Amino acid sequence: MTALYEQRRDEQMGAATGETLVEVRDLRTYYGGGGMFAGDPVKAVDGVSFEIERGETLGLVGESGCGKSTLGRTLMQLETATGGEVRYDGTDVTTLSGSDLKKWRQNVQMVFQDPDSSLNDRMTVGEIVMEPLNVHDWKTPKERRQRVRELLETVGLSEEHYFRYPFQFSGGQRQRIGIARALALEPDFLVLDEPVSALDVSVQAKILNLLDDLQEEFGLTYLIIAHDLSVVEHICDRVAVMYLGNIMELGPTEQLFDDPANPYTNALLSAIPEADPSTEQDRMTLRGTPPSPRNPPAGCVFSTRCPMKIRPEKYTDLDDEVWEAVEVFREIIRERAGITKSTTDRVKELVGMGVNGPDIEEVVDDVFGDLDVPSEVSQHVDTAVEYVNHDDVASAREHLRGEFGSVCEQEVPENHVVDDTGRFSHCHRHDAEYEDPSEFLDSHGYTR
Amino acid sequence: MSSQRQATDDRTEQEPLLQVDNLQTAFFTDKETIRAVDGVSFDIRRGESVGVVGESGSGKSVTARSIMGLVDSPGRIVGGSIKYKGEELTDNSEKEWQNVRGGEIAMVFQDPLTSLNPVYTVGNQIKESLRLHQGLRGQEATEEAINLLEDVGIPDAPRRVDEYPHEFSGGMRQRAVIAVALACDPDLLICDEPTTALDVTIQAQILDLLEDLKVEHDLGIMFITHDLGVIAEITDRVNVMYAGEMVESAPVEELFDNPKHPYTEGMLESIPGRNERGEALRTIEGEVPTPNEPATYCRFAPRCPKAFDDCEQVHPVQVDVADGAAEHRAACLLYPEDASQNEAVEVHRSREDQTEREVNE
Repeated sequence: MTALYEQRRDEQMGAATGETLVEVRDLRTYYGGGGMFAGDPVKAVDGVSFEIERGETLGLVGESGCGKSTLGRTLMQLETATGGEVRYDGTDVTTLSGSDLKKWRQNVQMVFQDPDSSLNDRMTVGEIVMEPLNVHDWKTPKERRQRVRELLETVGLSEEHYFRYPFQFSGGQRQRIGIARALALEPDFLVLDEPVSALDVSVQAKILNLLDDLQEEFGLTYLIIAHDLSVVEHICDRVAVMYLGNIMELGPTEQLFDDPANPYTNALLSAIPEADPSTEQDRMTLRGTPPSPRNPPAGCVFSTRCPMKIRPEKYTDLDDEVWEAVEVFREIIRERAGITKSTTDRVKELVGMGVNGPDIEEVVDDVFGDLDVPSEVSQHVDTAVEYVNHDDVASAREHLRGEFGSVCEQEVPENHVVDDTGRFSHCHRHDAEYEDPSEFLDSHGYTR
Repeated sequence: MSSQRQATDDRTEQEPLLQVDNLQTAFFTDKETIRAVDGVSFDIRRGESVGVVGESGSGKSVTARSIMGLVDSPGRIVGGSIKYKGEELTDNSEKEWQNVRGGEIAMVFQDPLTSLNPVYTVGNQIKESLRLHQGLRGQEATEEAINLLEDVGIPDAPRRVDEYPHEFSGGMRQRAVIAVALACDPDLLICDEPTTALDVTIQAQILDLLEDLKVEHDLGIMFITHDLGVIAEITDRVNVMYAGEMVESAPVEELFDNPKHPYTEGMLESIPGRNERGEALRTIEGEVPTPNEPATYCRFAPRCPKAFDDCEQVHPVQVDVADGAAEHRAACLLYPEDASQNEAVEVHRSREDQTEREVNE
């Protein structure tokens, strides 16, 4: 990648090769859809592209439901990609099948989140670790047994654990068993799906150290999926931040954590509670929850929650609180538009006992309260209320979108390269004509 | 800052909302007796949030359940006292407990999906609590439920009140659970890992909400978590638990800047965020023991980098870490700091004998 990044790696473990091991191009994984009567598909991963170099650790972070596990599983060919390609050492593995696929699978292994459910309680530790060797018919049974003993040693367990059952172990030790199993076939590439999130801090530290040692010893390449940003910051070389099936920002750990470029990365980082009570931070709290991946927002996927959303020209000077209230109101309308009515409701409507949903005026009162709303804003809110009262929530949503929407909701942003390390960020604000996210933060008094 | 200090002083003056003194809760199984909570003491005042932190199996949740009277057979409270507003709770009858629970002390659990009933609407569950404790019914109760949902920051509350838990997102469910907990205006809120199942962005929302509610309702909050970042964020004072015992308690800033007990030090050092990037993380050797015998020694001694011979012989009691540091206490033979080592050990030995005599009498 870049000089700086390689130098840092070299200092640490001297494992960087600069050679691309995994290359992902425009990968998409959708669930459902397809049939004649099927609804919209769930777009779990929606067009991501990145590379992983041999010997590096790439972190994948994001909120639950953002598609990070699906992405990991698609790389392993545990899910079928809807489109795009995954090149491993030059071969497109999405096209592999049958014995080719099985052969390829020796190179890639996975460590799962929950060591309770990923180990079979009726098998001994020896059997569990030996299973991949049996499946791939590795050498002779005697050599397999020997290999399992070595593996247990490698991950910090001892030979005497060979005949014990998983329930006899603590969470940390179970995770070690899972790691031993993943290493059995000497893979080059490991996907670790939340490897430490089920563990206590002190145990978590031991597992992270173990992973670090193993990488150094065997020259492994890791993709670590995690929601705990401090873990990712500690062990990854590069980090990809995902939101609703898209990669919002990807770059070297140091730059990404010290100077986040994308608004979502900023918000995510500022949400981490610091283990230091003396720092009083002005936190950028995100409103609400991510929208459904079945019906992602048009334009930028983060536009419904983005605190730095670009405003239409005529509202740039609008009071921040009023703007916020408009956004909250739009969110409510958006949610209401997404509700499908139950059969009972539809029948009730037919026989004239229509339940028009609770009073929209009350909601407006609650949202705008005693704010001083300028008439140019309130007239549009009133129009929307009118639509809702005529049971036409979709038009209300369209009207508000037309009036208060900006480029963020109309066009999908490009990946802008933001510094000389090749880090990119998926946001309109990097366009020259808008205020840059970092300038926005400064001008709005957020400390970073 | 000074006004905050002032407020802390004022609080010290008033009578604590909850006083837990030498609480012991044990579970009696055929194989052994597990002393899940073994001599825990702390208090909580109004408008203050007190953190309880420790690894899994350290007895944090059992402490909370003891205070709520929710310890089930084979477990029971075997000693010590829990005083709420000056009244003893440990000898309550089930009927008396029911008045305390919900009405006076409310609890928020870790997993919002399992603490809500999936077959009733969220509104119904809030109304149940309103009916039981405040006798509200019908339209009046519905309006109150809507108000509560608005208080905890759920948008479009009039519509949401008729929805089922599965229609809520994780963060909203936890808000709904908090609304249920607050329905009867309790004075003490026990939060058992309330944000562990949530994403950071949602966690930040819930922590903000709890902070606001604390000020608004002048609540005492007991906050149980294993996440030291959350502790630093939200609590005023912290108690650190290890194997059923309270090993250190101090105001939050003091604890993070100046940890005294070797266990607290070790735990703080193993947080990735406090280590240099790329460096190996410091760890604590060994595993947490199961407290299945009376403590006649320090339970942390086998893992402690600073252990010496007496640690195996003498059971440490909570002492002030130094003269004049009344707020900062640790159960470790290294303290009080200003005494020589032998004197310090003597202090612990004599105090231990005294408590034993009291218990035996």
